[in-house]
Parts: sequence; structure tokens; C-alpha cells
Amino acid sequence: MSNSLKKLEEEREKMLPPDLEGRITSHLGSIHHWGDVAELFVSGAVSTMAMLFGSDRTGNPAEQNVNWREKPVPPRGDHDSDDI
Amino acid sequence: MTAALTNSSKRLSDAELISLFLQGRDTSYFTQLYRRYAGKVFAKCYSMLSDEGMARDATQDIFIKILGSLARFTENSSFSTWLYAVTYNYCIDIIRRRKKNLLIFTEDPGKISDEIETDVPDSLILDMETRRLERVMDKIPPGDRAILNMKYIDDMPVREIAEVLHKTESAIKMQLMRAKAKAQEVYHELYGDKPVGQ
Repeated sequence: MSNSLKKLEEEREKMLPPDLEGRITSHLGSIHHWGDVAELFVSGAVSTMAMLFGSDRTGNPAEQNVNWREKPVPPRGDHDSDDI
Repeated sequence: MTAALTNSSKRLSDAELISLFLQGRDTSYFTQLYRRYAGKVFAKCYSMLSDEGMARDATQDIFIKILGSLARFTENSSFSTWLYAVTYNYCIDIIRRRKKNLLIFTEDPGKISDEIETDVPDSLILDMETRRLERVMDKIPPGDRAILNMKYIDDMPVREIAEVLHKTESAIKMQLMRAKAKAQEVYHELYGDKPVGQ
């Protein structure tokens, strides 16, 4: 049921500035945009850090032997004639 | 935002809009929530702050604030109750910061005296001519204004008002009586013995 306080509130509701929605929406858009940027950057940065510390992209330890003291093993099918 | 999405989102409940917004981060769901409640939030801010410009800024801040805390919203209460609680507390906080010595309530609801008071009838507020009511509301302490708004505009039970303002139910009941008594006192100061009605 309506009363004087509710009537007063209804009058004031109509005074809502129409430009406010645009301001909120643009803020919302920028949050959305920066959320995407952060998602892209953070996942890229995590993957890079993981690779730097000796893991592959999945976070598992790297399979290749990266010990500098040992002679690198060439990939299969790429042996040169020295071994013959 | 597509028109089809907007039309379909009009039929969704508040909880569904929040859930869809959080799942897919589609801004149109939040825009729909804004359209439902912005007018009410603005009106409450205007009533509490008595200034159109401040009410506009406060409405913007409140929606940005809830945008950041939507994930923490639980369905223990309705979204409107939660939003109005944020609105009233935000406005009271602004008033406190702006005027440090201002009395927020007629009397601190935490300190209830034992004096017996006569309850002013609700009709004093509910039937008062709107322009007079506007002036009376502007002259009573902001905390009292918030309690009267929650009780007679938002139809909130005393238990919910107590939760919003972090007070006990008995303190709120007493404060409600005092707020009405204060409104009556201000009315008599402004309009003498004129009847409150239109």
C-alpha cells in the first residue's frame, strides 16, 4: 500500500540522472577489458615462469636433459654421418 | 549488448542475473540489475544526503562497490535487502565523515533509557502531505531517517533493520519510536497545529 514516504521515494526515483547508466556501463566495460588483459597476462607470465624453472607448459618437469656437461642428444632421424 | 539478451534477462530473477553475470561476465546482466534498482538507490541516497549531486555520485559508487563484491553475495537475504543495506550504511558513513560531530540518531540506540514513551501513531508519517514530509525528514537525524525509510518504504521487519544497522531488535524498536517522536516535534516546530493530511 502506498504512503507519503513511498510517494516521496517514487518522485525521487524519476530524478535519476539518465547519464548515470552510461557511466556505470563504461566502468563495467573497462573492468571487463582489464579482466581479460589480466587473465591473458597472468596465465602467460605463469607459463613463462614455469618454463624458466625447468617445467614445460603443463607445469610438469621438463623431459629433455638440459645438463650442459653432457653432449646434446640430437632429435630422432637427424643423425649425421659421424656415427656410421 | 543484444536486444534479445536484454529482453530475456528482464524475465530473470535477481539471483539468476547475478549467477549468469558471475559465470559469463556478460555485462548486460549487471546492466539489467542496475535498471531494476538504480532509481530506488538514487532516491534513498537523495533522502539520506539531501543533495542531488551527492546522491548521483553515491549511486555510482554503490553500484561499483557491489560490482566488486557480487561474488560474496549469498542468498541468505534477497538482493534488494542486501543492496539497500549497502546503500544506507554507505550514506551514513559519508555523513559521519562529512560532519564528524553530527548526531546520527536522536539518541544512540545502544543506550536505551528506561523512560516510558508514548508511541506516535504511524499515520503522522504515512499520511503527511509530501512537501511537508520532505522538509520534516530533512530536519531529523540521518539514522532516524534511515530507520523510517527501511520500515515504511522498504517494509523491512525490525529484525532485518537491526541486522543492517548492527543493533539489537529492542534498540531498533525504541529508536523507531524516538524517530517518530522527533518527526512529530519537527512538524510542530514548522507547521504548528495544522493537520498533517493533504
